[in-house]
Amino acid sequence: MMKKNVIVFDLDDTLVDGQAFCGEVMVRTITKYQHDINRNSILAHHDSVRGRTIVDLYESAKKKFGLTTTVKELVETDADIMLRDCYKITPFEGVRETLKHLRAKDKKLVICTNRKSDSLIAILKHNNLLHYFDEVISCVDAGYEKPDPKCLNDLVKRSGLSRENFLYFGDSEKDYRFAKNAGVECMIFDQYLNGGQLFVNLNMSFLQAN
Amino acid sequence: MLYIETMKKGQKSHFVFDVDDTLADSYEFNQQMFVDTFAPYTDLSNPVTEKYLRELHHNSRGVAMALQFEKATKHFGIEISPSKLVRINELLHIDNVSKLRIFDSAVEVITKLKFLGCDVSVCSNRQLGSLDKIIEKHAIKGLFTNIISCADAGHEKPDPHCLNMLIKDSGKDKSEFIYFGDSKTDFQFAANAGIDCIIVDHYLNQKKFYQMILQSFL
Repeated sequence: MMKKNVIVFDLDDTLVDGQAFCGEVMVRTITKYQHDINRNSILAHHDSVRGRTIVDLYESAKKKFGLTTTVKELVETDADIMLRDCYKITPFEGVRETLKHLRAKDKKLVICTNRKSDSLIAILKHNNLLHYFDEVISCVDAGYEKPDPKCLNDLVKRSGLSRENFLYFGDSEKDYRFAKNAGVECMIFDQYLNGGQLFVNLNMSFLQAN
Repeated sequence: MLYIETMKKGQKSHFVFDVDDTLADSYEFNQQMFVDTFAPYTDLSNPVTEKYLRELHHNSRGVAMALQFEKATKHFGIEISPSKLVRINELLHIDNVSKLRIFDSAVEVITKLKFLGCDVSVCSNRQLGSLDKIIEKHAIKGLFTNIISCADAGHEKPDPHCLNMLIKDSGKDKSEFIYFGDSKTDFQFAANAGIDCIIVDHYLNQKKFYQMILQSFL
């Protein structure tokens, strides 16, 4: 059985706990333009469209709440707030230890996410995680959002390794489709159903074992 | 045994698995048995009836069998006790157990954990009759320290009684235990007993979770 030598991670809701913060950013963005929209309705909407891109998110919010602001403007405001306050996004418990163990086992680690590069790098730097990764890829900035497999296909090609060496680690059906479209095997977990403790428990169950 | 001798705080040495949809690829099998249980009481050739039963089963993940049967009997207005349907269902499971398979590489993962000196148990809401049959069919009895049916014990998940007893009898600290399940009920079960858990949707993981663990982590 071939070992997985390259582990590719999604970021939000996989390595970092972005759900609450991203919901909060959406509330601040929308209420900047329309103060009378209920905060809980925005948060509920945010949680219901999990796994979608930021543009999709605001397109659906615009429709649902009857916003008059353009999607472009909403996305830009979201990006500004996100970049300014992304230090509030922190990794799930056990992520650092897991990455450390995987590195010690000579795994190549990569991030492949729909988050934009500026806040992606800022989050990784702020949490002192950037140095664990061999490559950090923003599919959005590359112009090929997940589940378009282009970024993952290119990564496989660049590596010179076969697809069987790769594992994609994500949290949504979109991640599943992304990996599947690239012919890469994947592990999909719901961090919140696991109490945010997935990496602690994977680490304590399997990685420490040998 | 080296693993056990050099254990770190919080490291797991007793792995407790749910059975259905965690060790056993049983979603379709269980749904068919659920539908077939109603064969003497409803017209299963009516697609509406069958659709209702399949949807009820699908939406009742982690819910006790008796409650699922109770809901269906009320829906159809059938005068039969849910506990009788549970017994009929169990007999169907026993008769058809040869159709049930274990997820790929699950046995290899358990074998590896045993090799490392860990204990492995199962703790499930499945009744002991069919649970024993599954384990017997796959010749894996020797891998398990404990085989527990919460249903037969009268304390179905998420009631933590069986897990609490298992922990108590082992003499180990709770922090050494981990529960593997697939549903919110399983998460609650582990949380009620105060132990850690890993909840996995094996179907979203293409039924390859154990294979990926072997290839990536062990």
